[in-house]
Parts: sequence; C-alpha cells; structure tokens
Amino acid sequence: MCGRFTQHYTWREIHDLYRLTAPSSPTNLRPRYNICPTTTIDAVFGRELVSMRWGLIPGWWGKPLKEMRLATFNARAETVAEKPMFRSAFKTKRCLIPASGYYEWQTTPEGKQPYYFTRRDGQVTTIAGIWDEWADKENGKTIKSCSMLITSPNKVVGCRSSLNRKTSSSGSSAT
Amino acid sequence: MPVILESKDFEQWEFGDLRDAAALMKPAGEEVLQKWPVSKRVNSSRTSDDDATLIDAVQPS
Repeated sequence: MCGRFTQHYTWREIHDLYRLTAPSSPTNLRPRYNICPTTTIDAVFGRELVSMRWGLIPGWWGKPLKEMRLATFNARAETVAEKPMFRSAFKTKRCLIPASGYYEWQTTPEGKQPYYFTRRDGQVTTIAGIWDEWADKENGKTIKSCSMLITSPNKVVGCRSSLNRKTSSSGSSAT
Repeated sequence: MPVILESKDFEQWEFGDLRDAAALMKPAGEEVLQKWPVSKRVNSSRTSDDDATLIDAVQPS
C-alpha cells in the first residue's frame, strides 16, 4: 500500500514533466512532506493540474461524504478492473499523481521504521491514478477525488516491509 | 508499492484502451527507486505537513 507521500516540487518541474497548459500561469505550490489520505492533493489529468481529494468517491455514491468510511486511497492493480468502487473510474478516468517521494514502513523489534522512497534520477515520481467526480447533494458542490494504483513490490522495496505495513495499518480497506 | 509511470507512458496510461493501461500496472524496475530510513516522527499523521526535515536520512533506531 501507499498511504503517505510528499509533494515538494517546483512549478517548473511539473510544468515541464507534464507539459501543463492549465493553470496557464505559474502557481505557488505549497511544499508538503506528510500527505495523508482524505486531504486535497495535486493530480494531473490531460495537460491540467487539478486539485483532488486523495481517496476516491465514485460518482454513484449516494450517501453523505462522512459515511464514506472505506479506505479508497489505494486501488490494487490486480482487482481495479473488477471492484465496483474503482472499475468505472479505471475504465474512463485515469490520471497522473506527481510525488516527490513516498513513505513505507518496516516493522522492527523497536517499532515501525519508516523509509523514504524517491527516484534515483531525481525526477518527480509519477504514480498511476484513477479519479472520479461526485456531486455532494448536501451542498451542491462537486468533488473530484482520486486513488493511487498499487502493485506487488519489487526487490528494492522489499515484500516484507510492504506486507508489514499492510497488516499494521488501521481501518478497513476497499482495495 | 505504487505503480510508477515513466514519462513515455503518460499518454498510454491516461488515454490508451484498457489493455494498454493494464500493461503498465507492474512494479517499477529495481533501478528506478532508492530508499533511506527517516525519522519516526512521520509515523504520526498529526506530524506537521510543512516539516522538510521529515525526509532527511537518519540512522534506523
């Protein structure tokens, strides 16, 4: 899983990487080093930088937002095409999620040790995402939201740290 | 781990058909990422989001 990450790139870095056309002028981006699910993050769809809630709310969701208790910030590659929560977004609304890096935890006898992962080449990391739009009937607002795709780790990441993270995380998961 | 895309794959991910997209959902090559241990302060979601020292390398404790 990937439940915590950072966004502390410059406008120029992401403008060049994604060839952004919107917003048309440089935006002041707030550097963030401890991004948690359900907060608002930067995502890229088309050539546009878009603010989205990290934790997908599917367009068909009929209940109030506060009743969305499933953890939808990650969608498993193996099941994203079938899960009702994700399959429609996967079919038609795929996006890019820029990350300077992300955290994963390894369980040691002394407790959980976090590790920070970044690209070796210094580029911004681009995480595959899916997104959707949901209309909040309570206030008439439309909320864009997204999930990160996750898959089984390679050797650098280590299966062990990833599995430990999964079992030690709290809350239910829709992935 | 998250599915990491290379810049040459952005279009395929966003606008390709389902088979194109599915083909990209695999772990990044071992050469792509590096990792280092960081402070356990990041274990708490209440730790400030503005603290740039969270990503500094530390000795694992």
